[in-house]
Amino acid sequence: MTHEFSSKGSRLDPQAASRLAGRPVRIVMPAAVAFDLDRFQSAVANLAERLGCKPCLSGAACIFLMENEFVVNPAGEIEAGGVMFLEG
Amino acid sequence: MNLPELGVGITYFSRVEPLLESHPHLFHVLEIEPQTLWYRRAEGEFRIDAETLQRLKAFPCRKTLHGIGFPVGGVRPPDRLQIPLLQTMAAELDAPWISEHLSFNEAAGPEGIYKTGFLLPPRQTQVGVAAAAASIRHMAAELPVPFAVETGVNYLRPRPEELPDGAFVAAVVEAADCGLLLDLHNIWTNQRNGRQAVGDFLDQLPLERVWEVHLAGGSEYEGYWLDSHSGAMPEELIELALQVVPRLPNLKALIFELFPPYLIKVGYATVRKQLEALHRVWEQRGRPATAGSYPAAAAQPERKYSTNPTAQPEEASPEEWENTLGALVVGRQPTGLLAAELAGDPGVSIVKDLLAEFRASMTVSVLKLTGRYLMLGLGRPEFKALLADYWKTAPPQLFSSDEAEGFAQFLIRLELELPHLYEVLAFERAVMQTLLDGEARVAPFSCDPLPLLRALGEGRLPEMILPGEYEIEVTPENAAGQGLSSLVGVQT
Repeated sequence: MTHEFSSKGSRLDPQAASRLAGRPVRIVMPAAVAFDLDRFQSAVANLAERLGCKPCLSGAACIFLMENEFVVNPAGEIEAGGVMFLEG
Repeated sequence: MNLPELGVGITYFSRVEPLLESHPHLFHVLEIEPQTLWYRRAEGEFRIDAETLQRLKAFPCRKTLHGIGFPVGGVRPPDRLQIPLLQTMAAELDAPWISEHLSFNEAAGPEGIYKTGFLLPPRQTQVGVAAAAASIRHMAAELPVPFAVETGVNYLRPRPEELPDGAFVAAVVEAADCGLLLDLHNIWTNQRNGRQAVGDFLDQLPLERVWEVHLAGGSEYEGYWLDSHSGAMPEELIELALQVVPRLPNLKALIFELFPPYLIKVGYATVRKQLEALHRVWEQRGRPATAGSYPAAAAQPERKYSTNPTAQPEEASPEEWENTLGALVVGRQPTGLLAAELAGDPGVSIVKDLLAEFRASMTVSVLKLTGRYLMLGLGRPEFKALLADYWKTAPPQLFSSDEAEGFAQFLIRLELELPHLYEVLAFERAVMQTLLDGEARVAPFSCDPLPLLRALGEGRLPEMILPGEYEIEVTPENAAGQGLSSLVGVQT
């Protein structure tokens, strides 16, 4: 039984097969890999940049907008600018 | 003041590194925003991302620091917990000066002091000058290098009792005896939105105090020009910079600002062209200033007024100003004459919209899969309504991890009926917490989690979910096999 979620590091617990009977299947996943389960590779690549303080900005942060557009059209080109959180 | 000449550069973010490596001649200096390299691991404990810090040190260009977490334009002194980290970073990066914003980001309410989530304009009165100057002196006394303040954006309409923008900045920096970071895009934005003309602003400044200049691109929204750092600089702004730089006898650095996610839209070539334009501007330093007026930025049609017609010249204190404006932008309903006046300022609505976008962006930066599931499962309007409902219950946070955790707790209380939603949420919280504290965690699932997580990672709902008992053990190693022990701890 094989689970391959990411080529970057997740794996089945080596003893998982022996625990299938009545026990949960355990998948081991490094946090940095788990934090990046994302086909939309945003321009914010650094972990601290995502978890910490956002950069200096007195205008429109566009990360929410980009997420929204990615969900609407995962295969399409990401367009940014002009549309805001409160836009319909 | 005898500061070194640093030259042309950009505000650092990780995805700009390929350009630093391919075109090193374009970058004399990197401006580091220190808080973007910090994690907040627990109340009162910050840690620096040592891996990124070491990578920054390896770039051959000079570095300077530009704070984004302790603005010095208000009545409240800067957060003392941040000072040791600033001192560490200044030493590690050999930064010749540190700058911060002449703004405020805290207000007081019935429950105490809270973050406003957005840099807000200070009270522009003589009392406000004294308050800001005290805050600057307090901060400067703690730092190992000279300190400068940045001229900010102000989306509010001018008020009759205010000092003009340039006169206010001038009075503050003279009283505090500090340097000046002149953000030309900010003052150009202010002029476009109906505040003081750029030429008048500059004529009121002690230009010999300008050590650094910022340039950036912006965007339009609801008739306002926004300081979005969203791409290429407007041509008018470059023309303005070409005229202003010869008048700055002590200019040491010229920095281009880009909000990192916009790199996807504008691309590396555009960023490279902006740096090349900055080099042309840099060559103007020391040359004779040309006579004539500065290029005028056309005001938007909606911004024809010159002052708030209803404002009363009463002397609201800086503290009242900060508490009232802060409350309004975070969605509270303060009372009193000042509150009533400010609530009628269309600029307050603009700031509220920008703050909403900012908080939503912080949340989905961390809870990416949960956010996508909510968008797909409930619909975008419902997800936005959930976020807005949460914001009514809690003020903004400085760190994305805190903002996301607050929303997660709110979601848990709602008990929404989306299959496996709370398992996805628990998994993402486990990931975040493991990244912050280095402790492994286990997230249980009552289905095979991999098809579910894979689908959300691809921006879609899963086609089929198979029930079963599963758990994901989230371990602290990162992809390079290094634990979070690589973080630099600073005892505070």
